[in-house]
Amino acid sequence: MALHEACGTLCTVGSEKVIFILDASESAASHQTAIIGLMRDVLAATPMATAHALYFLGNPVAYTPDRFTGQAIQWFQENQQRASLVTPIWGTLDQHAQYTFVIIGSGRIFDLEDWEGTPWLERTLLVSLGDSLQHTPAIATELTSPTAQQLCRHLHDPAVKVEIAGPGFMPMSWDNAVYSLHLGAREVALNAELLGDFSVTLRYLAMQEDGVKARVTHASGKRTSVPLIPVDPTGVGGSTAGLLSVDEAKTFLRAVRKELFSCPYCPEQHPWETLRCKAVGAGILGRLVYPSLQASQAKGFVVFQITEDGVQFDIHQGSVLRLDSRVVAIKEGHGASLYRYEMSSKSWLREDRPLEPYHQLEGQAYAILL
Amino acid sequence: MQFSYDRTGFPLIAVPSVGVEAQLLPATKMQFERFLAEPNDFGDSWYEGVLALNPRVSHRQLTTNDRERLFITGLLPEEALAFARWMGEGFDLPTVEQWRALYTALAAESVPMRHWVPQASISSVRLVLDILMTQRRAHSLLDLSLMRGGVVEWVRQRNTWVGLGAPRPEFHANLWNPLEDMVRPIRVGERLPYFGLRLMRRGV
Repeated sequence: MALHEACGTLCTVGSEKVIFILDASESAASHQTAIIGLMRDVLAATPMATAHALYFLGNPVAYTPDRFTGQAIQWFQENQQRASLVTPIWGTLDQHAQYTFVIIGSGRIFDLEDWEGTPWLERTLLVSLGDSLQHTPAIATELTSPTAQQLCRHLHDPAVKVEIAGPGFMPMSWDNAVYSLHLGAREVALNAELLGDFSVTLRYLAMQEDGVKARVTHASGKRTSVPLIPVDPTGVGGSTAGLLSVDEAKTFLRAVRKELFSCPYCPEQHPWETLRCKAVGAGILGRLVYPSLQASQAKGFVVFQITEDGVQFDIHQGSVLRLDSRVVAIKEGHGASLYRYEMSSKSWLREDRPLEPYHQLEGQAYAILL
Repeated sequence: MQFSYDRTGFPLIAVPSVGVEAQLLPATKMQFERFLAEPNDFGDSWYEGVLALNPRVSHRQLTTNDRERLFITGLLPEEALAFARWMGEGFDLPTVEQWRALYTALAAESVPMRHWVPQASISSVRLVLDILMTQRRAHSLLDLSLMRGGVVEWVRQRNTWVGLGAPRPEFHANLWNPLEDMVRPIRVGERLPYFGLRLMRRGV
């Protein structure tokens, strides 16, 4: 088994978009007035942007919530001869869409068990106004005859924490700066807390692309699991590339041979591992001995690649750089530590050795940390 | 043999010798529920009564022990015919001769089933086929079809309805050879928990 590099995105976590599914079937016929009343009261207390759509059990056609009050009786008549089945609806919806489902009715939903362990059922609240909507043991949260206020309180349950993790997971770059890397003893995770927007697109390593999930903790303490949506890697965590000048390439080639090189700014010759010249007038940090990188305001990891056209440089976004199939360098403070994925313990372990200046990668490539 | 799919995504197999396409498996509750989801005369209480005879099992939790719960049983012939009409033009319950011709044709087939199963377009159907192939250690399409080891299936014999099939003894004790024996319900109109159905489509 090898680590795979993949890209995924997590969007609209903690969305309060709600899809209501009403039971107009025979088993709920005697509760129709109560279902309509509850639905009307909930819609009145819910912003229209929250109530995304309305369905009836058995029917994949979406109805418009804002027409419910005037059309409810007719809509119930249209759907009263359908059996209590949810597959016709869930079977047509995008599994990645982050909706909360509220099913209001009475009597067993025959095919509910087909969805056990799926994201749909995890995000479903059953509301019984008569008989239970499920068999025992229960496989979904169910409220019995709640008031509209009680139901609304259950619906307002925003996400307060997101942890992205999975077997072999190691994020390499991500586009939402409020996420931070967490190197735990048992797993590596990308965490964010108390945000309004948890959406993120990331490039990562993992044992299985679909094994990486976002664990979402809600304000109520409820935890749900959300898979990442695979995305085209083009442009995800991309790098800024360029070509060193002829003089810079000479500097680079001397440095990798561990020879002194001539500085572009001062008359001195610098030791091979020198990345910044701190001659008078260069500022506190000094100036990069590669003017092209200085001009690009490069920071973090830079990878040099010897090509037929010269020496190419790539300024990597992100604080993690893949060095080989199972080793990464992670920027920590002013330096970088190396971590190796151990198959036996299925964990990332810190290595004793640091990232060397001009750390040689596979092929004719070398990495530095600025 | 050529395969196609019915409107529920389950496979049909062409049997040119008798000019029909037949459902490869006995009709499942998953398929029948697609019919029940549309407005018709079969409500929740009717279905509860049918499920009481042979309870439902989720295809995600299907085990060898409860395999027959996957299939819709306990229907009366006219109810099965309503399902056939919903399935589409040309669908019907088979005659005794058609059912036995399918049985004989499948017994002669040794198709490498792995080649076509992944083509099933719906993931739940793929899952069902995969589980049944594994459970049955199916070597031939007859093994997979459950024409033996499944349920008794409604078939026409002139103007009457009889059953063909050989369920496994754990589900319904019997010594039937479906190529020789016919199962005749004792009382007309009685729902039998081991009676299911397999639809065929004419005109191939």
